[in-house]
Amino acid sequence: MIEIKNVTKSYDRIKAVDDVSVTIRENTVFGLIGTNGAGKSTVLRMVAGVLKQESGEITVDGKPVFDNIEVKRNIYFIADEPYFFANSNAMDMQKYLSSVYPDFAVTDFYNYLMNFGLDKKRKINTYSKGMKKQLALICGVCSGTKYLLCDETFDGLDPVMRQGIKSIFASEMERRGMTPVIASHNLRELEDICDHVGLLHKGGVLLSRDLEDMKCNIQKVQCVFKATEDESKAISALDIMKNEKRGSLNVLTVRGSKAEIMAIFATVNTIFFEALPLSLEEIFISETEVVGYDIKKLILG
Amino acid sequence: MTSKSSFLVNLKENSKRRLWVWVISALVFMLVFPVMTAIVISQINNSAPYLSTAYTGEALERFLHGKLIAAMREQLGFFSARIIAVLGIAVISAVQGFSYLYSRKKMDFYMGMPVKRKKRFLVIWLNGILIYVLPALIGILIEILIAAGNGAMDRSVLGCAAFAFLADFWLYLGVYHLALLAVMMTGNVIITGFGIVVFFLYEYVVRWTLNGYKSFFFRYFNYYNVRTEPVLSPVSLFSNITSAFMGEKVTDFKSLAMLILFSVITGAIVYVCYVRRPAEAAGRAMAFDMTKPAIKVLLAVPASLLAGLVIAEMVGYDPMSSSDGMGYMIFVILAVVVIGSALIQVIYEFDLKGALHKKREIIISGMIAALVFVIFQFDLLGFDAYVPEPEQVESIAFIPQNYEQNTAYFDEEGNYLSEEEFADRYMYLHNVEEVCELARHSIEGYDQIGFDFQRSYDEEKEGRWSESTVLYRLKNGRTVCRRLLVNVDDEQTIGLLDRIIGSREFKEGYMTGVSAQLQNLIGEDEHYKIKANYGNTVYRKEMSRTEAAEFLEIYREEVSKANFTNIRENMPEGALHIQISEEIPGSVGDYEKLTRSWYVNINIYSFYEECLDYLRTRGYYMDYQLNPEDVAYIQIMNRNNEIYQKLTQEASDMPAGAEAAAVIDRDYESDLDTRVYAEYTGKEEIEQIAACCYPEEMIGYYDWDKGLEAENDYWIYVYFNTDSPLTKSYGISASYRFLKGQVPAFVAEDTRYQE
Repeated sequence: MIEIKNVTKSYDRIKAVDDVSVTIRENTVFGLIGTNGAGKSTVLRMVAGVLKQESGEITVDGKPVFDNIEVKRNIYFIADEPYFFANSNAMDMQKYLSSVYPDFAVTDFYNYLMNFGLDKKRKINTYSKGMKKQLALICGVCSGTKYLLCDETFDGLDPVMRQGIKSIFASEMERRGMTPVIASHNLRELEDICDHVGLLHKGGVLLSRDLEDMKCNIQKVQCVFKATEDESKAISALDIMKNEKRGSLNVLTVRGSKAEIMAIFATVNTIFFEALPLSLEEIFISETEVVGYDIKKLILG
Repeated sequence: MTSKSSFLVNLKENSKRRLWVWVISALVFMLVFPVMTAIVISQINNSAPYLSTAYTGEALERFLHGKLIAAMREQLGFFSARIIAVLGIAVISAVQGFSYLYSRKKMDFYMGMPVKRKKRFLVIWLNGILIYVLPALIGILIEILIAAGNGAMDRSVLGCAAFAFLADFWLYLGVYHLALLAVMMTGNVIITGFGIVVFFLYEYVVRWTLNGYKSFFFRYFNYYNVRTEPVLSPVSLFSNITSAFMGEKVTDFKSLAMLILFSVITGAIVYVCYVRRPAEAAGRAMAFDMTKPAIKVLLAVPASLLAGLVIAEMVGYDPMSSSDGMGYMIFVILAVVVIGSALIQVIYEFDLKGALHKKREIIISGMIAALVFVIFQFDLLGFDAYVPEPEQVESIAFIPQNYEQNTAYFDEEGNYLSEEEFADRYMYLHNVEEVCELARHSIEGYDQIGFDFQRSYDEEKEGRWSESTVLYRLKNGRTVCRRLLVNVDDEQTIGLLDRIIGSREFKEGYMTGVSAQLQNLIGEDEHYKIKANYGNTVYRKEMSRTEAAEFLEIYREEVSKANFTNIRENMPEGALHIQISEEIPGSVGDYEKLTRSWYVNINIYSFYEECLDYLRTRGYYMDYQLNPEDVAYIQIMNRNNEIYQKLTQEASDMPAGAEAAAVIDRDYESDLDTRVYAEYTGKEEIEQIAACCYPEEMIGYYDWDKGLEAENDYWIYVYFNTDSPLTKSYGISASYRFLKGQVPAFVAEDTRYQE
C-alpha cells in the first residue's frame, strides 16, 4: 500500500503539491486525475523517490521511499517523457534494467516486444512517440515491480494499444498483484481501467474514492410524477445532488443505494420511472459540483 | 541476482553510457602520445649523421643515449601536451559523467531506479577517474616499451614517468573535482561551463584586482613577494610541483600535499552537494537557491572593481596627485555592480524581466564595492604610512634597486635569484632602528613633495630620490614588504645609508662578492669552471682560479671599509669579473651538453688598499683607464643638448610666421643638428683625454646613489692602433665617457656649437 500523508512540495516557492493525503491500495488500478499543473507528476515523482517531499510522509508498504533501494525495487516509474539511453535499442534497455531489477522478466519482455511489433534491435531514437511509450510500459511491466507508476503514459497510444496494455495490466494484476498508478489529465481515458480515482486540483486532493462505491452511492433517475404532492414527497425523502426538470420530466442525481431509492419511489405515484447508469464523468461532475468546482473546466476541458 | 547489480556491473553499464569519452582518452593516451614518443626517438636517432663531425664511436653513442634519455624524461615526465590532455579529459569526464543531472527526463529515469544515490555517485565518479587512469597507464607502458626497445630507457626515466604520473593523477583529480563541483552547483551545461571558468579564474582575477588596486592607490606598494597565482587552484599547485621537479630537481612535497588535500576536500564537498542536490534542479541555472546571493555578490564586486580600475587607467586618474577621473571610476564601479548583478539575475531566472529582481543583493554588492574603493582611495588601513616599531621587528632586508649591476645573484645550489630574493634569503640587518628611521624619514619627505607623474622634479630643491625595497621581518612571523624612496641628497638619509650599507649584514646579503655562495662555488674544483679577470671592461687581465680565490679572501675582509658615501664619491679603479659555469647535470642540448653560467662583477675602489696591493704585486693593477700608447686617434662628439633644447623651445614658442617657419624648415632639413665632432690624434691631447675618461660600461653602473655621473653631452670614441693588443682582445674601437665636470677645456672649446 502506498500512503501519502500531508505531503507538500514547492518549486521556487510555488507550491506544486499542498498537504496531499492519498492512500493507494494494493491490487487496484489507481487513477490520479487533474489538470496540467495540478501536481500529478510531482506526486508520482515523489512516490517513485525521484523527488523528496518538503513535509509529510510517503511510505510504500510502510517504508519511506526516498533513496530506499529495498522499496524502490518494488516501484517502476514511467515518466511522461520516458528516457532511453542514447543510441540504445530495446535489448540494451533490457540488459540495464535486468541489472537493477532483480525480478526483471526477460522472456516476457521479448514476448511483449514481439506481440507489440517492436523490433528489439532497432534503435529506440528511431521509434515513434507511441512506440516509445509502449516500450516504456513493457519495461515497466516486465520489471517485476509491485507498483507501476505511469505518468500520462496512455497519451498518444492508439485505442488498440491501450486495450492491449489494459489486458496486460489485468493479467499482471491477477498473476502477481501488480498495482498500476496512472496519472492523466483525461478522465475519459481512465474510466474503464481504474478501480479508484484521486482528483488533484491546484496541488490538493479534491476527492479520492473507489469507483464502485461512487457508482453504488449515486443514482440517476428519470421520472414523471403523477401529482405535485408526489414530487414534493419524493424530493424531501431523497438526498438529491442535482435536479434537472425538463417539462414534467425530472432528471435526478441522488445519493444513496439503488434499493434505498427504489423504496422511496415505491411510496409515491409516478407516471414514468427509470434508473439510468452513471458515467465516471457524471459521477465526478456531481461530486465536485457539490464541493463547488466546475469539473468540466477542470478535467474535461 | 545481487551479483548482477554489483558495483562492477554498474561500472560496466556506466562505461557504456560514456563510451565516447573512453574512446577519446584511449586515443590520446594510448595512440597519440606513444606515436609522439616514437617520432621523438626516431628524430634523435636520425640526427646521428649530423653529430658525427663532433663525436665518433663510443662518444657519439654516449651522446645520443644522453639525448634520448633527456628526451624521454621530458616526454614521459611533465610533457605540456600531456598536461593539457589531462586537464581536458578531467573536465569532459566530469561534465559528461553527471550530465544526467541537467535533464529532468534522465533524472526521472535514474532516480527512479533502485540504485542508491551514494552507489550511483561512486560508480560515475570512479568511472570518471578510470577513464583517465587506465588509458594513461597503458599509454605510459606502451611508451616505456617503445623507449626501452630503442635503448632510450634508464632508471631516471622510469622515476620521472612514475612521479609525473603521480602528480598528473592528483592534478586530474583536483581538476575533475573542481569541474564536478561546478556540475553539482549548476543545473545546465552552459552555466556549468561558466562555473568551471569562474572556479579556475576567480582567484587569479581577485588577486590581480587587489594587487592592481594596491599598486594604483599605494605609492609604497611593492610587487616583491606578492602572490599572483592562486592558492586554491590545482593547476597552480601542480605548476609549483613541475617547476621544482624540472628546475631544482626536487619534489615540492608541500605543494603535492596541498594538491592532494585540495582534491580530497573538493571531492568531499562534491559528494555533499550531490547528496543534497534536489532533483528539481535539473535545467535550472543554479542547483542550490541558498548559493545564489553569495555567488552574485562574489562575482559582481570583483568585476566592478576591476572595471573601475581599467577605466581609471584609461582616463588617467592618478589618485596620488589629484581627484580628476575619480568620478569616472566610481561611476563605472557602481554601473558594473548594477549591470553585473542584473546579468547574473537574468541567468538565474532565464528571463530578461528578472534583471532588476533582488535589489537588496545589488545594494549589498554596491556597498561592498564602495567600501573596498574607499579603503583604497583613503588608505584607511594605513598601508602607505606603515613603518613598524623597531621592537616589533626581528630583522630587516634593505634592497637598493640595481645598486650593483652586471652581477648575478644565486643560492648555494647555483639557482638564480633576483636581488630581492637574494636579500630576502641572506640579508638580516639587525640595526632595525636605523632602517625604520630611514623609512619613516623618507616616507615623510617623499609624501611632502608628492608623487606626480605629470611633473618633473626640481632636483635642486626636492632632492634626488632612489628606489629601494624594504622587507620587515616581524617578530610575529610575518614579513612585510614596502617600496621605499630615499632622498640620496639628504644629509640625514646619507648618514643612515652609510650605517646601513656600511654594515656587514648588508654586504653579506646584497653583494655577491662577499657571499658565502660565491666562495663555495669557487672552492668546488671539479664541478664548476672558473674564468676570472681584472680590468675595466676594455683592459682585462686573466686571473687564475687560485688567484681569484685569494683576491676574494682579501676583498671580503676589506669590504668593511665600504659605505654609501665612499662608494658614491669614488670611481672604481677596476673590477674583478668572475665567470662560473657548470654543465647542467643530465642535460643534453641538440649538439652538445648544456651549461649554465653566473657572472659576478666586483668593483675595486681606491680605498681597498690591500686589494690594490695584491693586484700590484701580481701585476694586475692598471694605473690608467685608457693607455695613450694604444690610441691611434680619438673622436669626440658633443651633442650640445642645452643649445638644442633652447633652439627647439624657441621654435615652438615663436608665433606662426615666416621666422618660425624658417626654424621648423631648418629642423626638417636637419639643420637643427647641434652635434659637433672633434678628432684628436696628437699625443698630448690624447694623454689629456685619457687621463679623465672612463669606459662607458664602468660609468653606467652608478645610478642608484646618484654619485659620479657621466657628462651626457660628450661621447668619446677611441680608435686603437692596429698593432695594439687591444685590437685583438677587445676590438678596433671602444666607447668612453667623461665624468660630469671633468671635460678638458680644449675639448669643450673644440666642440662648442656655433650658429
